[in-house]
Amino acid sequence: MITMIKKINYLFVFVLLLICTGCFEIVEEVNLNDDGSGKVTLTLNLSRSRTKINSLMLLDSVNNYKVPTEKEIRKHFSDIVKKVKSTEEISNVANSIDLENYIFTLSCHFNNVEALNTVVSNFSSKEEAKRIKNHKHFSYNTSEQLFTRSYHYDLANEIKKTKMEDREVFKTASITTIYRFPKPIVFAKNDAAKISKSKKAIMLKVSAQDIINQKKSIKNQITLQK
Amino acid sequence: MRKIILISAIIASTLSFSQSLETKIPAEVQAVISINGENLLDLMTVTDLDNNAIGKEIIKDVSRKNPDFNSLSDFGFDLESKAFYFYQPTDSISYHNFLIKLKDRKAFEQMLDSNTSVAVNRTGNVSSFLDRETTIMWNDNTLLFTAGEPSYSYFKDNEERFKKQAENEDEYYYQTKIRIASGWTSNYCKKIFNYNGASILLNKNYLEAKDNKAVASAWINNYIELMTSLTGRGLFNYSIGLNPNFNNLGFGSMNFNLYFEKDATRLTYTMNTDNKWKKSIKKMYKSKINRSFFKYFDINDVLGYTSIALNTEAVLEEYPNMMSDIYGGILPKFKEETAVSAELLSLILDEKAIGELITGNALLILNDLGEKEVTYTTYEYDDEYNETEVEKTKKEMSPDFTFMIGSENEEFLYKVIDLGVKHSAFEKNANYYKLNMPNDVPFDLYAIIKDEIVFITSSEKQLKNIVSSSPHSNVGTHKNRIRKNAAVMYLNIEKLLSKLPVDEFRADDKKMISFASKNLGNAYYTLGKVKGSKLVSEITVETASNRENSLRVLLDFIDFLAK
Repeated sequence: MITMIKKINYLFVFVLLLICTGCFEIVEEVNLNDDGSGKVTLTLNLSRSRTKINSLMLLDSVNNYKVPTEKEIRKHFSDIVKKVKSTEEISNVANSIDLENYIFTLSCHFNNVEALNTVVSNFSSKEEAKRIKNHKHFSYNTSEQLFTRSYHYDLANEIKKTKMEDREVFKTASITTIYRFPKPIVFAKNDAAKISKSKKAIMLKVSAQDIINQKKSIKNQITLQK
Repeated sequence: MRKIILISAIIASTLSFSQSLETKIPAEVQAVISINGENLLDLMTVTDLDNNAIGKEIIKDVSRKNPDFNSLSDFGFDLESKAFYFYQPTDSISYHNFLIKLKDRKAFEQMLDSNTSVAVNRTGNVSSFLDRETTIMWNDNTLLFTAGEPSYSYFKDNEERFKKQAENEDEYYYQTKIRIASGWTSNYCKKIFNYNGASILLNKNYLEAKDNKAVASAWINNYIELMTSLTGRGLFNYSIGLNPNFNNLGFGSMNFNLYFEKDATRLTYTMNTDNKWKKSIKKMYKSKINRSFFKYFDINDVLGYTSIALNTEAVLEEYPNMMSDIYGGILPKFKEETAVSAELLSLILDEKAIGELITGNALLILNDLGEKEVTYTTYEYDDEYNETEVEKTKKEMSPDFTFMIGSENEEFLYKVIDLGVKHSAFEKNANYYKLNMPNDVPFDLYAIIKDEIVFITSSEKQLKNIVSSSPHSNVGTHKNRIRKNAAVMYLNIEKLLSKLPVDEFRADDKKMISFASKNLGNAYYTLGKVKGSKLVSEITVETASNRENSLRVLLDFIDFLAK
């Protein structure tokens, strides 16, 4: 129970950091192999808000939320890493934490993309996990050569639940996804995504603002050459 | 003879007419709030009020049930008179009262009629309305509204006794309670409506606090008694067994006055202290900002400042005792503990030595809001979307500020600084020290000791001025204000707003800033020195010179917020 409260607390602080700062980048990179295995790297970069976070870190609490110490941030991050490490079919978990620039990265190998769904489920509530089972975040259909990135939450709606002024935060926030495949891409459903020269990589950069306004999404269905 | 009777009748009636509603407020009430409608309507018309966002909201609300209602004057109240709220607590029930002059009795009755189903009683010329713990009484020219608030603890403590007063077996205790409280309230209302006993106008302190120029005023007879009555009867305190005793707090009466003047909105707050505290506070504030501070003060380089003139030695001597009074009062169970810790603190501290080191004079100045370039990390991608980490720069707001703190023990300060230099916290230069700040702090800091003042500044411009042999000085009217008061806070709103990086702000904030810079001038907060037993503080917000008066600015502001 206490750990749960702690976790919620951390979540609040995390959200708070974002709220108070505004500028952040999330980069999700997946390198997929022929057999469905691959490597994923997730980067959270708060470097543009460094000064503001630094000033926040000098305080004990902001708006009644406890501001975590460097030690607590490291501990929390290492807990996340531990949890990823313990996931089946996940290996070579690596991470880096740069508290001077506030850049966090986490990477790992996966035997199949289903393992990525397990990782997401492990960080979700039981109920959410159930929904993820029916609505996969990652899937790779080898016979169709179809790679799908999706999610079951209605992000725009979730964000709309927050206060108008808090939402302003996401003004300069962005999410970038980069996927690489062993074969050329034939078609991508999300037309905001850009396919590379070699046709083997695809990048999609979406501003949080566009997600809120439901103009763009990071969902995509990518068909590869058979 | 008839003439004489007629004349005396006219005199009597004018007398009774001009006789203020205040004569109905008993001398022993704890708090009075008044709104001076005449002063208010000198500054604007009822139509202005009707058209304001608040007026519109009220009219919309009332007219739903009463379509004829389309102006605040349709309440039937005499809006040009003074209206009063007063509060009288007792051990068992507290009364909240509103007293206002009626101009159009019919209009009021119509409005009431369309909003409630409770019947109105009429005896002679006086009508009354009774609904649970609320009673309203009125005649042709006066209206009194009384709401009773029964004491939770009193009814809890006397439950057995009151239960016997149940009208029948089926009556629940809460029903009995409402019935009893409602009877008390109605009696109290009747008593006040016909009151001609000793009124609040006999209270010298109240009369002193009164200012006919104010648009609104509030007066609290005794902060201690009010707090006791407010905290002592609450469910919260009752349930957790906290029984604070505020009798040791050295506060007496206090009052607020609000003024809307042509060029400023002003709120004054006066607090009376008892004799014991008066002496302590007087000693603590017995200090004036040293004149040498002004040698380095140039109002052209100021967006805002705070000045504090305390006598540190006296603060350290008096404060522990006051704290012991305060905490001993709030937590009576720990009275002895707080007294001992207060004495212990006095034993440990060398008040005189500390008072020499930090005199208690301080001036904190915000000079400017500059910009500083900072770097951040982001990513660039090649044709195959391979990532490269790159460093980019962006501009961030960086404040220029100067702290001036008085000290009479420079020798010791130099020793501390030398120690800092030894441990490379400071870097020594010809006539100043540079503090070695962590990289991520968006400003540099310099320290200078000169003229019995410790300067800490983030501004190179200020640094140059401070170390120069003939520093710029332009104090203007601020010198008087700072020297006369124990504390001053000043903001040059227009200048400050012009420095903000508005481009990065949200649309709503931008509008707010634009409204403020168009309509407001300077803002001040002053805390005066103790005069007699009074501590007076004042907040002034100046209005732009092209505005008719400050009340209109406020109305516009309400409209602006409502949009």
